[in-house]
Amino acid sequence: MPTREITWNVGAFAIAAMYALVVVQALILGYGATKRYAMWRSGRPHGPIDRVGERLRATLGVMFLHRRLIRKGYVYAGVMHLFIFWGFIMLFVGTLIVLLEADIVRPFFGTSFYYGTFYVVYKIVINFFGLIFIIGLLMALFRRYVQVPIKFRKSLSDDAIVLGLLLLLGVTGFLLQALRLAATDDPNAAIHWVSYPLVLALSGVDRGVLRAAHGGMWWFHMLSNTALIAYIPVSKLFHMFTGPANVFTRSGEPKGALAPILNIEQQEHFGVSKVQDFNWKQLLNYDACMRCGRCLDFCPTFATGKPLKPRQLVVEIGAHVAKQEGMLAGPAGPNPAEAGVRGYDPQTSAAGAEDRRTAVMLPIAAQLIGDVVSEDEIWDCTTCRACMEQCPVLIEHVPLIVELRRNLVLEESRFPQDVQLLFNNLERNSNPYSFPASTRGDWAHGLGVRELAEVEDPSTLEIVYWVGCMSSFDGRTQKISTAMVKILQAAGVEFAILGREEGCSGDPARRTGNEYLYQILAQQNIERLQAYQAKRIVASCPHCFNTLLNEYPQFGGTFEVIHHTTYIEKLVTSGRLKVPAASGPDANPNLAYHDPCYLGRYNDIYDAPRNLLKMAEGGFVEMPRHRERGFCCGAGGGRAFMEEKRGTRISHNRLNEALDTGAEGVVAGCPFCVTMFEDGIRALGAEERFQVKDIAEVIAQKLDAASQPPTTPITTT
Amino acid sequence: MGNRRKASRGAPPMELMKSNRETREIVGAGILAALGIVATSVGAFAHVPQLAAPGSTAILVGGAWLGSALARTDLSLPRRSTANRAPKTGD
Repeated sequence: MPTREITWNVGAFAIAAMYALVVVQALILGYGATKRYAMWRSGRPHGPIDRVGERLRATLGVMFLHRRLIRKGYVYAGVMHLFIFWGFIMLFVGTLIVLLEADIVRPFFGTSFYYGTFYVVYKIVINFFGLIFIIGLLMALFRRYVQVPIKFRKSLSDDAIVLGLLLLLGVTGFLLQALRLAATDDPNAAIHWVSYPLVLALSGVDRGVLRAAHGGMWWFHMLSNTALIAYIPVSKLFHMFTGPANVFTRSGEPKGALAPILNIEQQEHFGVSKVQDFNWKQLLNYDACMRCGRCLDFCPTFATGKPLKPRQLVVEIGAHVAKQEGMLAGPAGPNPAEAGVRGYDPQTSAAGAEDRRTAVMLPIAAQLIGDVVSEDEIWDCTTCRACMEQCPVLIEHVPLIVELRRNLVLEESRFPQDVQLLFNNLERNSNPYSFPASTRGDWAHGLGVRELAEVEDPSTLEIVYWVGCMSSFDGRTQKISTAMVKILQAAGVEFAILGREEGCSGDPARRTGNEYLYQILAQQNIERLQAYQAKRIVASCPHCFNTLLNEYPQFGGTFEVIHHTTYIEKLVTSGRLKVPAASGPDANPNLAYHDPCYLGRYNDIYDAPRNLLKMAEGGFVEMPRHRERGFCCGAGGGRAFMEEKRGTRISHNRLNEALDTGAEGVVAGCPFCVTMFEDGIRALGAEERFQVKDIAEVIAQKLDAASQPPTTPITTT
Repeated sequence: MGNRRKASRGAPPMELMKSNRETREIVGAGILAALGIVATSVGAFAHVPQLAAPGSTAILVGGAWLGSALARTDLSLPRRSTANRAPKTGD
């Protein structure tokens, strides 16, 4: 009957010592977990965690199915983690089964289940999971120390210790098994199929030697196990608890909605400037980072060599919080100096300390902004959300950046000069430029466009066309609004614009931290739209679209808001808009499509613009970085109104990618992207061979071409 | 919190009571873990497997509780405040 003697070759002293070691493990784990829990609890209150069932399902999906880990572009890393995760879980379950047999079923029930068919299946399965555990770890070692992607150029000792301890545990487990099977001449050795080749190799070795080796190996295995468990609370291994907790407590708000400052007039403190300003969810956020670096993969500031690196930001703030809360370790691991955390690293220590021991002691009153995070980092962010989209445990980087900006703007009045100009213009003109608000509708003169104030009964309108500041005032992007008018008129849509009554949606004010100004602008727009009983709004600008759709409801402005790409697609599919099918020399499928961040990542609109391009041009060129993995143009987060002084230009990085595809131009669905690219192609000297268009312009050009009489080809005889 | 014990010498009765409760909790958790070690050891040496399961459970619960209690009292945490310390210049 296949079975084995549990604790074979292990004496009573070793068993007693093993259980005594469990005290050490439990004590350290209990200590570390309590410290971290207390740290989260010390945060300010956060909104209630609703829809528990839905959250639980999503968390289990992320944990057990690796839904956010195994994604396009992350198959190797995802499978690697899946192997380690499931190997670890099943080896743990396997240990519990042995515990159940030895400590409960046999002594208390006088029976046994650890034999026969169960034993055979158990051994085959456990060997399988033990093997994939080791394979996963070897994959991780290969990736980190042989392949070395740019984000892993600087590995910490914590990374090596974690992988080393796990590998030690897996390998010694198989060695123990092989030594026991060889020493006992187990007739069922073959079912332990991973260890079996080693059993055959050891078959000639003296049994006494094998028994002694087994005894030594048992101790080694146990001590490795103790070391691993003791290491969990002070290392990135703790993400096995904080990761799922962070996914479970994720924000339930729309992706495009920043948290409002309620009763802003009564507030005396704004944003975040010190550890005490964080709420518990934010504290958990920073504690959940395991430094995988996915936030860097599509980050425009990291790719263009700017100071802001989302991983470093989270690690530094997490380490700062951990230190101030008197914890042994945070997301920077047990040795933050290695991670380059300011105040720990003797090279960058604010205190100018000579040795690490002194450098660790950054003054407890250290301010977050300046001492831990530089203002350059705070202002570099384009809020493109690439970091949040990729983070496997849903860490929220962008809201943190905005909270830091809110503090600088609303409390410290410290911001770049460009931002001062932006605020002045928004306050005076309700647009980011110096154009008077009264000229906002001038672009539409002579186009047959009505302003809402001229419409007798606004309820007869199908839509209100929300033009946005950029397409109202900027000469280049006015062509987008003009194209949009052509399309709406061709489809016979009853529409009007707010004209001089339209104000900035407030997006640039909110994203640059001026929540006060944002709320004024938003309130004015909401009141006007409600006064005209506007129900359906079509916006050309994804930033306006996002704000109107996701953020105005926070202030009572709930409207049906549609982006122009989605609306044009609806007009075409409903048959109201006849766009000639792409064919012949008019079709140009050699245009690349660029996903605007506030359309794609923030609002999941990826297909409508692509469908339109396929229909109008017969196809398009997909850039390597596209859809959720798209790359920012550099304009978001108010960056369009700031000089890009650090690193290389983000728009050039994106344009070079488009040029490398061999495309003849790039199409976007955002006036900001169009402007950034227009400026970029001039700087790159590519304006002769490369064009930049908005989707509306592409469609309008097709309508123009169809309305013109066909030209007769000149033939020569 | 690390200085609470020192401060408690002249502290009001509530602080003292809290401090005593924390101490009792640590002692209680330590006793539970120790009892667990004794039970499992007796189980191992005297071949009484019925002692191993409750013993190991007591070890696990007692150990984790002890760690948690220590963390909450900060007894073992070397936390040095440098709030009033001038930055070291290296001179």
